[in-house]
Amino acid sequence: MKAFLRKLMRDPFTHFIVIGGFAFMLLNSSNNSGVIRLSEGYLQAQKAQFQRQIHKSPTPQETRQLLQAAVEEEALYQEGLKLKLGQHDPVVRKRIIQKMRFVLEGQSKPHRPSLQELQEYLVEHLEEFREPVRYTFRHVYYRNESKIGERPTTNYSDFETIKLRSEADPFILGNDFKSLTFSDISSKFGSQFATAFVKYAEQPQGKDVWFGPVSSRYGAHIIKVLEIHPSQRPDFEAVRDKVYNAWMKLKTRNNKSDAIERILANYHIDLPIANR
Amino acid sequence: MSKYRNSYILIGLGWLMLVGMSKVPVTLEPQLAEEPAIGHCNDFSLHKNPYFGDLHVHTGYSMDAAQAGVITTPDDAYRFAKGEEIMLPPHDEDGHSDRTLQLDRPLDFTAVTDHSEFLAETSICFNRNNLAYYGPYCVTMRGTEDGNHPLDTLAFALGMGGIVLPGGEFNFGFCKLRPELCEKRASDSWKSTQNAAQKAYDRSSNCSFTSFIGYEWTGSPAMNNQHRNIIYRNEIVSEAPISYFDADKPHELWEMLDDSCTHQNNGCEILTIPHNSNLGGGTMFQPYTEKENPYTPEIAAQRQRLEPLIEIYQHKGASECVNSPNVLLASEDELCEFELIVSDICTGSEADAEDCTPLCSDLPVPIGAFSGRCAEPSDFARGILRNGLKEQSRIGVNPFKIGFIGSTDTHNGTPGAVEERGFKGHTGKTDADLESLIGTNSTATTSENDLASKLKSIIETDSIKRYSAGGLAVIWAEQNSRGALFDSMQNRETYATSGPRIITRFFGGWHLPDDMCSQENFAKKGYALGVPMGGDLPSAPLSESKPKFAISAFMDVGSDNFPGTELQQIQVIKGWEKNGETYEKVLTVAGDANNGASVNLDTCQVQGSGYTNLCAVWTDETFSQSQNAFYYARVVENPTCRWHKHQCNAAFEAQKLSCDTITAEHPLSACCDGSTPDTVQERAWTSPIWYQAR
Repeated sequence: MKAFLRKLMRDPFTHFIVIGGFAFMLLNSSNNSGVIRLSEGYLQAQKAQFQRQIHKSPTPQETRQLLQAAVEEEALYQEGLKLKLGQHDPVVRKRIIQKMRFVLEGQSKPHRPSLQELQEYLVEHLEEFREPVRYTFRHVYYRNESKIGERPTTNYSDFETIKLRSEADPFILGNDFKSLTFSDISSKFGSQFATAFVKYAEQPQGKDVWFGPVSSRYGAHIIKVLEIHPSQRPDFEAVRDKVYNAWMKLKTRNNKSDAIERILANYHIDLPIANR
Repeated sequence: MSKYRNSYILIGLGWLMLVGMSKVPVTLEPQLAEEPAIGHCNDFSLHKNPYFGDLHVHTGYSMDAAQAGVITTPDDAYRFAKGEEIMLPPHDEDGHSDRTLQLDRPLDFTAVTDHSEFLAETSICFNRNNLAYYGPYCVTMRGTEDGNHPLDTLAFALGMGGIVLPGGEFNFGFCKLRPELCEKRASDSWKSTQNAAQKAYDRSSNCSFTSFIGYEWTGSPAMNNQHRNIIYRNEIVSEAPISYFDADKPHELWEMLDDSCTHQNNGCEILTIPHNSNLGGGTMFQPYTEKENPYTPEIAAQRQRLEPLIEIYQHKGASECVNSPNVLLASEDELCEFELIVSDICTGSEADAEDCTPLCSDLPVPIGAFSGRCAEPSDFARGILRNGLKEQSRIGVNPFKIGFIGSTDTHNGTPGAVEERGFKGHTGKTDADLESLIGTNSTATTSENDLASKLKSIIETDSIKRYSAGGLAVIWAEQNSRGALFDSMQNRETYATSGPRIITRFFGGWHLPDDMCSQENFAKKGYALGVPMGGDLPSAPLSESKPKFAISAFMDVGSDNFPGTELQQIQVIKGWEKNGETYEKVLTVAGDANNGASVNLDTCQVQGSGYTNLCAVWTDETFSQSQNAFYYARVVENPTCRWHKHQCNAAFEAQKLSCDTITAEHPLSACCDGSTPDTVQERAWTSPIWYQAR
């Protein structure tokens, strides 16, 4: 027995357990004794904040009050943590979830895509990267729709058109537009006009005849679509950056939802019966 | 966050004054790239189209932007201009941010204009891969998160020492010690600025976007602003951008630009665009190189050639005009009271408002105009134009023949982010939330009177709330390509807006028909029978001839999210010279200043109606052929809520606050301090048309 004890006393494992135990007690007790230490930098920041809000430097007494308040807050915060008061607080909860999402996003950075991956992505998502449809058209503008009067809403004869043009008002951007996209038309005439315009232009008999009135914020327009330039298949080099960004965005999103899946896999999830 | 802002400004300006880099500009061999010929673009029009853009944009390459946590590159800025979304500071360590921004209407053109000063230091000190990142210089340059650390004070004190000395002579900088390393760094940043612009330029026949290579020369001796943006015509540029430490006076800058670019005869062409003359303190538009050396016709002609435009509006306020009765070159015009950083000029009489701004020349030491501490009407566009007429008489050349543009001066790399509704600031993390944007309550007065506070007041602007979302540059050009746009900038066929995409044309001539406004071919008539904005009236055909001006304006049609506002009126501003004195007057020529339109301040809903478009042909009946004169038009919208009102309303509703009950200590109490008007009348200013007396 004595030999065993002696052997035990010499065993490094015993030393490990004993020293570790002391260390644990020491550290634990220093945690419990609760030191609150405020740095000089912290004080300066508090003073600066005081100055911003009150527009003067704190007096020595006010400084003491500032520190007193800070010490009190820190102590309450520490005690609150021990009591786990943050646990069911909706604000704390929201903030922690938000932080966790950022952490996951940071961990979800995908590898750098290869040329082939990007080319494949483009083929799979061709529609997103297509050059938009463009329209070449002419219009005549009237400040007041009443000038157009009771005329038909489409298929003006050439005679009527000439007559209408003589009564037209000047439009500051001119009367002829070449190769505009839907968003170009929106930014020049407003989206209400652009939507009506495209709807009309897409009709089979929409080209080469005067049509209207189409209204905009500016007034009324009679339009004649001269050409529709169909959407073009994109050239890889021209859209490479956009494809890269879209690829990265998609992969990051996928990685992130995978990461969430993995987290969920660690939990047994118990839902209300109706929703299982 | 706002508590950091001042320190960033202090450190930034401090170092700006202190540190220099020595560089000899050398010109590159021309790299030939296909410039779209006139007629190449689908949108080509002989009668020109208006293009909307931004010619004043900073990214994380600018030291002050980097200090404010901005990490965007020139590439990002161009992507943003074309309509892509980007993230705004503050970023986390992975560069992520949940603050994002996207234009709802892309721009037609943009120039990224990072500060030429400290290009190298910024690239070194904000990259952890450099050993110097951890050195004392970089640590000081980055400042502290706290913003009030002794380190920040040190930078401030050093900065003050540099400010009162002539620029470029105080050089304690990192690059003074390691010039060989710095030159490479500066040139890397400059190259990647060029590459970003080259990549962003659409040379296809769609001509959907034009980029310009540029930078900002940031001279501000004695804290009086003299800043200028340098814009290159094409990709043939100088080897290195010129900084305040290379040329510390504007005329030296022009000399160096001519030497390193214009006179190389290799296709290099530049123009310089001054901005924030509202903060110039009377140093920006003086007709002399030194007080005792008035401009010669040669220098005046050089200035007229290289500096055809002024940025009259940006996020640090308007530089059109400033009010005061009986002060030389000041105005008496209600509509000058718009997004001014300064107040009415003090006259010294009892009628002066308490917060009037003194003339810089009345201060014992004329420094600190950059903070709005003092101002000089001779640095506002009207005063500048009037002095130009006098120079025309004195030496036969007008050095101040300036057309107008607007821009943002964003430091977030967000060109064209001018929307009032949802304005997210232009200076990184220093104005990243509403509390920092609106700043402290101005009615709470400071009792600080010590030297440090006094010095600080010279540098700080009192409140960021006075800043705005910035404006746009508009160029009438045949097509959206570098050559066409640059030609029109040189011809001043440009105008400025305070943000909205108002479209306006302005022609002057002797034979413009009175019924131009009802003729379909307004522009064709304008070009055939007159000159466009930025031009010169030819000599009068008959001794009794009176000039006519045709002005047409269409409201900004807006977007789905942000519908445009109707117009209220068009005004013509005339300035003239008679017997050595200059005069100005403002006339409403279309619309109605009293149309009854207003804003509901609780909801920001616009009430009453204005005009979707306005047009007028106006004859100057008081014209005299013996008087030099200029004319420009101002197109004014109906009133709308200013950005702070939109955002304060939203915050107040969410937090159930009201101006009646809010306490002065509340972080949002500045919403109610009345330091800036709750409504604004957004506008456009056309470049002038000049008449030279015969």
